[in-house]
Amino acid sequence: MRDQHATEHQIQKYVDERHRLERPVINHIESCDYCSEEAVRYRLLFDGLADDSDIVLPADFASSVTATVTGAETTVPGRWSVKLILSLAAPILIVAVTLYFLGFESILAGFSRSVTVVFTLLFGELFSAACRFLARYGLDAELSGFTALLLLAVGLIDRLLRPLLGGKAMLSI
Amino acid sequence: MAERPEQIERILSGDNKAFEEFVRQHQRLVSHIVFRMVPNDEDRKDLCQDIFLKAHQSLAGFRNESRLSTWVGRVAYNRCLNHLEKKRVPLFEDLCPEGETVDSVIGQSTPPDEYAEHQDLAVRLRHEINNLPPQYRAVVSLYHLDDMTYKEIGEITQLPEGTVKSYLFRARKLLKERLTAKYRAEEL
Repeated sequence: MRDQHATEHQIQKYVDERHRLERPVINHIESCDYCSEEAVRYRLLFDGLADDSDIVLPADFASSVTATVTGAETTVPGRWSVKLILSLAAPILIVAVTLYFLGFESILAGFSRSVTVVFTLLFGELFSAACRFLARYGLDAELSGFTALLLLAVGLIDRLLRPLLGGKAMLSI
Repeated sequence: MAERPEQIERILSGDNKAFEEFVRQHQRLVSHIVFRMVPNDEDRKDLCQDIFLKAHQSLAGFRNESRLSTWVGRVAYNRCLNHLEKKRVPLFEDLCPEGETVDSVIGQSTPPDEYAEHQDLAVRLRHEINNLPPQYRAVVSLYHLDDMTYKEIGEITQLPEGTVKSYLFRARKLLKERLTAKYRAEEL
């Protein structure tokens, strides 16, 4: 026969997980006025905690969330247009970077003069301006420019391939 | 690598019906977490919606390494914590320096005169639940409303199982004491 009251832990367990309590403790709680009264209090408290009648979402919650998701998908440029832009941008960027650092003027010398002029205007001036800007801040212009463009190209390709890789980043494969 | 459930694959392939079904399956759990953790009624519905939008964006990362409901619960719990931090609601860690017990640092129970406005036990109980730290409220809600195990609650809250048990015990003890301090057992 126990001569001490059950602890708070034991009384909570008695109400909630009685099967985990030793038989003498159960016997005490059931025969002791103080402990059984405490158990009744906990029982009422637990019943109150299991009541979710105050938690109500609108009946159309699921359909309205779905509509929001669908709306969000259609407000951004269509997936195919994004893929198309990326699939064009990434190789152009890589070719441009490669040509620039390999000396595109000599490589393009074999092409018609108009093609050479277009490439020079598009990429030559752009890269030269970027290099001058970086040099002003003491950075190795060519290396910084090359690194930035390479990272941009890798990022674009990664974005393009991600859906095909099940949402995983390319570098994590 | 664990495969994703078919439902997730369908959602990722753009099946809106599958996503709507997913929301229906988990909206009860999400609403329990949000309504118990976030006291402001105006923020709750928006938060529930945000959580499902976030889940939709992150579903590709679900790898079946835990139950889907646990994963959704974790998204909801973290979103609520971020929301409360932004609103500068003190969390348990802020309230309770190491070595102190929650009983000594949580504000006193609602004064008796305020109780006069709350005749109904359920209302009084909700009022007292709102006086607990958010992490306590989440643990109590997940255990009593969603029948989750200590392990599952630990996965959602990223707390050790022992801490979950301790939070649950202290929260219930506090609630019982606060409610019985002013009312006789028969009334409780």
